[in-house]
Amino acid sequence: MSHGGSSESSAEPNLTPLLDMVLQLVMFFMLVCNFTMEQVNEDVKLPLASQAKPADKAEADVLYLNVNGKGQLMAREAEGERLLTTGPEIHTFLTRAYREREATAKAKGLTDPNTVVIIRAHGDADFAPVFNILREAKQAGFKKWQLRATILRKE
Amino acid sequence: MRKRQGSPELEVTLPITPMLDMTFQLLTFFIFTYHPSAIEGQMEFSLPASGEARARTEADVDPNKPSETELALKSQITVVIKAVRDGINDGTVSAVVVQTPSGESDVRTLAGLTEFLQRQRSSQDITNKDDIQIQAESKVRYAYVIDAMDRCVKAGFKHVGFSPPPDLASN
Repeated sequence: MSHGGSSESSAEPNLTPLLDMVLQLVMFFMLVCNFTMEQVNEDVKLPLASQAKPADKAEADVLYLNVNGKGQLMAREAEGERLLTTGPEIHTFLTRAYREREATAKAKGLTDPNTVVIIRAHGDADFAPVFNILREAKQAGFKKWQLRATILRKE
Repeated sequence: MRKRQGSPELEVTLPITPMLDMTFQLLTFFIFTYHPSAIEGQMEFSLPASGEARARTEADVDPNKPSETELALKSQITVVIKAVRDGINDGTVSAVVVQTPSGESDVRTLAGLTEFLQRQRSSQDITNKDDIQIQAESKVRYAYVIDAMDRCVKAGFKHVGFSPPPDLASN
């Protein structure tokens, strides 16, 4: 179809609002993007609990103890991740972890480390290994604990 | 400054299309890497002080020595959770027994635990209305222990402790 007499005009869509919107979406995803902490293992499926309180992120010094479905402690060390099963292995690992934190605390002029031990155990793990880890952590000297669970939303 | 005579007026336009392309790529990246993880919460539990349980020096650490550390509270109510050991449903709950000063009661499943504990807590036999302990067999799945703990908190108990599994030594 020709438009007689009209000058040729180029129809360009206005991309600026589109760009604005896309940038806002990018900003949204950047903000809600859950940057998982190195110490939190995504393979651990936590049990559900309706009475669990939102995790307190203000704790400065924490020791995450991830326990897999087989009840093995997934110990993160300099050489990589190691699966600890036996009592003596867990005992040695936790005692060493406590000693390191104790030395750091003393260097800061504190008497004891203010470390919170956070147990992240898989729901399918047996209770005995989780209990043993708790007991060993206490024996190593740790004094603060938390059990982690997925907050069950009330219907 | 005077415009040069005869030259067409310059129109500066910012090339938005490549910027939009790049932004779309960023958006795609974030959409693909975004996975909303379940909200993690913390369960409070109490452990009584047990003196100097830890070794003083590294040399004093004897990994073969069994720990004497108790994780139990001085409570009047104990929830005993027993595990199924039939080779098929191992780790599920076979029985839930509540021990009180007036005796033992079989609650059977965890579903009725909250109401039962609420009734017990309101009875006059129970003077310590804050503390409760859970004694689960070693093979009970951790998820059921947390479920029981959840129900204890729901029933109004503030401090939940753990007793050593009664069959721990035999495993």
